[in-house]
Amino acid sequence: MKLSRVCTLLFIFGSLQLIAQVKTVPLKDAFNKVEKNHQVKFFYKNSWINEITVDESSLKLQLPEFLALALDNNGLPYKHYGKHIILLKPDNNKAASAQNQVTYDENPVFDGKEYSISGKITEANTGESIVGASVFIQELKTGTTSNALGFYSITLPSGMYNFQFSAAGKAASSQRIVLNKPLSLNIELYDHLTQLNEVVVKAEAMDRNISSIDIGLVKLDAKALQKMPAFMGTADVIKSITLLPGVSTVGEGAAGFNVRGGNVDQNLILLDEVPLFNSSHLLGFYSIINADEIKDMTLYKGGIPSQYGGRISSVLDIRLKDGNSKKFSGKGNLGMISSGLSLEGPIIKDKTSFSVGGRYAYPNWILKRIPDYNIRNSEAYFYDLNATINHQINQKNSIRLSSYLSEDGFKFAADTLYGWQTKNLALKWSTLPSEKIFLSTTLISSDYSYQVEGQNTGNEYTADFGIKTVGAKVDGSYFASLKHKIDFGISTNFYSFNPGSLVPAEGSSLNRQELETEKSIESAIYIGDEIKFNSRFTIQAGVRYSLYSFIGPKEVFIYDPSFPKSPSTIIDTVSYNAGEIIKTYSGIEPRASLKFSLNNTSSVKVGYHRAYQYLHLISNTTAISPLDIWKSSDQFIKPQIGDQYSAGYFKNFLNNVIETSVELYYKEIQNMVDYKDGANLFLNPFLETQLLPAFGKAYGIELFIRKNSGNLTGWLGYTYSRSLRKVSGSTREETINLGEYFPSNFDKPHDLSTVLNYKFNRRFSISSNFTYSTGRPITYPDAVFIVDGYSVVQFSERNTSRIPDYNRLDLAFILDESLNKTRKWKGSWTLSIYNVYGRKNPYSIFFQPNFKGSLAQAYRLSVLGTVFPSLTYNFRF
Amino acid sequence: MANKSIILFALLTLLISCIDPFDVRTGGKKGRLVVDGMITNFSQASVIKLSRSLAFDNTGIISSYFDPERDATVIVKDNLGNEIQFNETQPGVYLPDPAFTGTVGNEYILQIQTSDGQQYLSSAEKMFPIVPIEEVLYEYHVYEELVQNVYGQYFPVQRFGFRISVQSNDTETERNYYRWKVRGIFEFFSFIGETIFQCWVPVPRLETGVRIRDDLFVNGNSFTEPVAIIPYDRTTYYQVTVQQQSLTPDAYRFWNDIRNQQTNTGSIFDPIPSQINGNIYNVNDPGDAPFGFFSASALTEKTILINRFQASGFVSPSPNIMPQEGNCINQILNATNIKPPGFP
Repeated sequence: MKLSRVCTLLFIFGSLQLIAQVKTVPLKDAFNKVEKNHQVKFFYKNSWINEITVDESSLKLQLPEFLALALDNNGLPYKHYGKHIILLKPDNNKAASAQNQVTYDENPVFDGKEYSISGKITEANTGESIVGASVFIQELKTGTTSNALGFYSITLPSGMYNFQFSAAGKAASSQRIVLNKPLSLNIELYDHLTQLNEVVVKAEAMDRNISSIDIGLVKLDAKALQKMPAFMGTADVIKSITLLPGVSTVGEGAAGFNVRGGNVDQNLILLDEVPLFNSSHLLGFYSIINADEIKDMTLYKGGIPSQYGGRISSVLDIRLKDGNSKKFSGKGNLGMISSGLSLEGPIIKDKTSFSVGGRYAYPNWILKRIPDYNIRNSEAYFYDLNATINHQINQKNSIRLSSYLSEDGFKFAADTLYGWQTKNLALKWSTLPSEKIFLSTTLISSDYSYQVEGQNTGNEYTADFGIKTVGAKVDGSYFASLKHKIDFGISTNFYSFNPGSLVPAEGSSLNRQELETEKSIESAIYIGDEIKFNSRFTIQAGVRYSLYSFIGPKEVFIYDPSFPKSPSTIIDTVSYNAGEIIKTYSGIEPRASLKFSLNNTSSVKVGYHRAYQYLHLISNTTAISPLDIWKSSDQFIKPQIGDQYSAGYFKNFLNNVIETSVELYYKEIQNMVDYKDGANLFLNPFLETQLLPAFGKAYGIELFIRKNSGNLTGWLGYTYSRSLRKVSGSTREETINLGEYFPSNFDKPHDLSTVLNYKFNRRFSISSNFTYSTGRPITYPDAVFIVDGYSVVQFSERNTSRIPDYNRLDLAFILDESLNKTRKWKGSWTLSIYNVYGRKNPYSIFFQPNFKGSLAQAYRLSVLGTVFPSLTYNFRF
Repeated sequence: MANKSIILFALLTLLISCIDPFDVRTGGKKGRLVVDGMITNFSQASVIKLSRSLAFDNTGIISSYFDPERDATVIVKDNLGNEIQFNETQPGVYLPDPAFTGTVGNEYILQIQTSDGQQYLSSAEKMFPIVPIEEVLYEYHVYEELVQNVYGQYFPVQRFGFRISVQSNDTETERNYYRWKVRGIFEFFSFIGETIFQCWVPVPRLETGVRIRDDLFVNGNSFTEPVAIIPYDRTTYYQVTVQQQSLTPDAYRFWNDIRNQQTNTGSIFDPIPSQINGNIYNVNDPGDAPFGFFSASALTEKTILINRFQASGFVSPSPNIMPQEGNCINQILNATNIKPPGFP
């Protein structure tokens, strides 16, 4: 306490000496004035504050800024209940630790040169690094944000500054800093929720949505996820993302998600920087990412920074926890279908930490209750496991090992087994060669495989598929000056695809059928510069160059170019040796975004990006399935190229408590993969004969309102969008819908989602999701005809009708953990009700002969067409 | 195999789903010419049926109605310059001279002129050879069938029967496409007092849906393909005849599209429903493509007789249909008391 007080006083004297016009007033007088200006009341003990003074100029600040400056800065904790601000007994240690990291000259001399200040921003209780924390310099009205490892660096002219460090859900921390030499300053931020009970305080830099350059970006943290009502009570990463504007899904239980009219395979899902090729458990009812293990996740819908590449529609960057480096803790949940447990703690305190988490699912007891014979005899399971180890070698170097393992199994009707596995590993070394340079080197490896095993007598077989990736990359940031932040990097990935091999069992009448392994290399180099012209105008411009080669060994078919490709038009076969380049593609991918602040509460942003995609998911079903194959671009399948233009207006109200935005986008995609009618994709050695190149076009407007604090929190998003395709080949067989634009399978023009959480008191809250969307496109029958005694339904052109509109309400009742702080074990209960009013939302309308008869009839299929309640117990210790 | 996986996903979604009839009425392509034609190497097995498509009205009643196309001129030409005239014998049914048989290896083109003067042509269809059936196999089979009750709910009912499979030796040289049709005759009894009556009933179609496959995974091998299930509802004899047909790649695609439609369960893991395109076009109007297909297939057949009582191993539950009092010829439609060849 003493030390901090001394420091504070020193700063004030220091500033008095230098800046003559700064006057100070006792805090008590300041309180009186603020009480009048802002109609609030302070409660405190005189003895706590009688030595403290604040700048007179601070009285003109907005209330949150004043509180941050006058209270946080002086190590005075407080609680804010409506109009009452109650000071708590000062926490000496905290203030001391926050303040004593930087030493100051008593008589600072400023030489007019530029110096950098850098360091790491971490969570005070767990030591976990904070991504995207804001660093704001009040005098200059500018700042920066921490990177994916919590590291920040900024270069400023020498001088004395008020720094404000803040992050979502964390109490802001203010520092007065004398900058006359390069400084290293690590910052710890405390949790808002436990420490300050959701105080309605947001530092000025909490207006991240309007002040940052990011366009089309959404961040969700693990806490927000846990509060949303979830199917069968399991917090779900992907399902929650689909509630955001611009993100949709084909239907319930469908794997993956669609961003701004793009296909599922156009999303780059990074789990600790390793790409995921299948994000689903249990065929799509769950996502394979354990929400308990997530630190945070960022979804880039537009304005994708140049460091990301390889997919054209979006990037979902998921970061796993580092592990608590201070003390051992654990948490978990018990649910009706799955349960999970996570443990974290220090291995060497403040130096090495670990985090492990796992989940296991047991849906069999539900399967056994299904009257259908085949399902009753089916079995399913899945599990996943995360483990990370972080080691701080020294102040400037750290190393992180992250691993992920997941497996799904499904045994159908006692004779067919399906399985899929993901094994990921990443090793990352971060280093700071100087205060201005941050470098990280990452090695990744991923192995995604899946199988079908048939056990039908006489036809026994095993079919294997998979994709293996090995890659390395170096990413760097150079914090050149206050105006320039330069990102650069280089990466290369080596892919090996197993497009399918069928191995018959002994005595089976089937033949061995093996498709050749396909190999490819994708490399990229990028550079980007974030230029701050002034506090209102920022440009981020970058370029990425990607180079892709499809390599041997492989036998390649040559088709007669004057006919549509088919096995009968093969005129030659060319054989390539191992490592020989069969086909090379490359592309320049410019990226740019621009931000202009209109005033303190609003800004306008525009963005453009181009991206190349060399890997394609081959699937002609409405929703993707785990058995769909991934295909590398080859001499027939060109890389997909996406161009997106976006613009947005962002405005905040009530001191950033309410954020609003309007975003517009227009997107064009070349060389998408579409399919001939009735295409056969399973183990087809002539796959290219089944595929057609498509042109895609999407546009939309997204409205978003979010309230971040108070008893009522949540968001409302509305999207109007279209997603269209065009397939116009030279023959009828290669043309869909006469070469006109037709809606994609997930074209849902109107899409409304609300997520609301209302806190009745500190323990009990209710949250709700409501979604409404236009029904997805479907192909309807046009006529009926009879051949060979079968009545056959003839369909119209593709996707010309729609299924009825979709709407659903979910509720969750949350009884939070006990407020008794001394209790080590803390438990909470969540009662989720999925589809509260049991609406039978049509999933599809399909046409089938009446049961075992020959008369065609339309049916509506509703998945989850009833109320699904579930209870989950969450605990931590 | 691919189909199987589709069924899996379909059923998984069924697990927590429900299916209701849904009212849809459309009719955009009503009145289109429909061609259902086949040239074979068997005598009296080549036929061209012409009709008009109907609106999809969802009642299922009208969709079974055959709207014949009458008074058309129907000619099939082969690659040797022969012309085979087809004459209308019943409304919409056109037959060649009874002595006509197609020849394996020849190519055939169908030419139609309708009474309103429109001219249609098919693509050239080659008659591919067909390997003989090695054996028709059967095994006792217990299975569950979903049955709809009066409230429209489906519930499973246990059934007993025999699974009929066909075994053939595929030729290694080319890609072969097969189709199977199965017909049968069952024997049954009735009584009046002490007198026993014996009757036989032909069943024209035993396969439930289109049965086709290619030799992609069994090229050059002997393979077994299940083609039908016959019920174990009486202990009497059942005669089963399996017909094996060769298909062209294009015909296979056509029937495969229809099979996909028959097995589509509406799940999002099903392929998107697609138009079922045939191989016939209007010479003057590309927008008026007829539905249906004209194919050339070589046929081969094999017949077996199953003693169902013996084949069940005597241990199974007793069949549920018992002989009734009366003359059997009046008890089941199409029953005959003339013993068909092959029955003991």
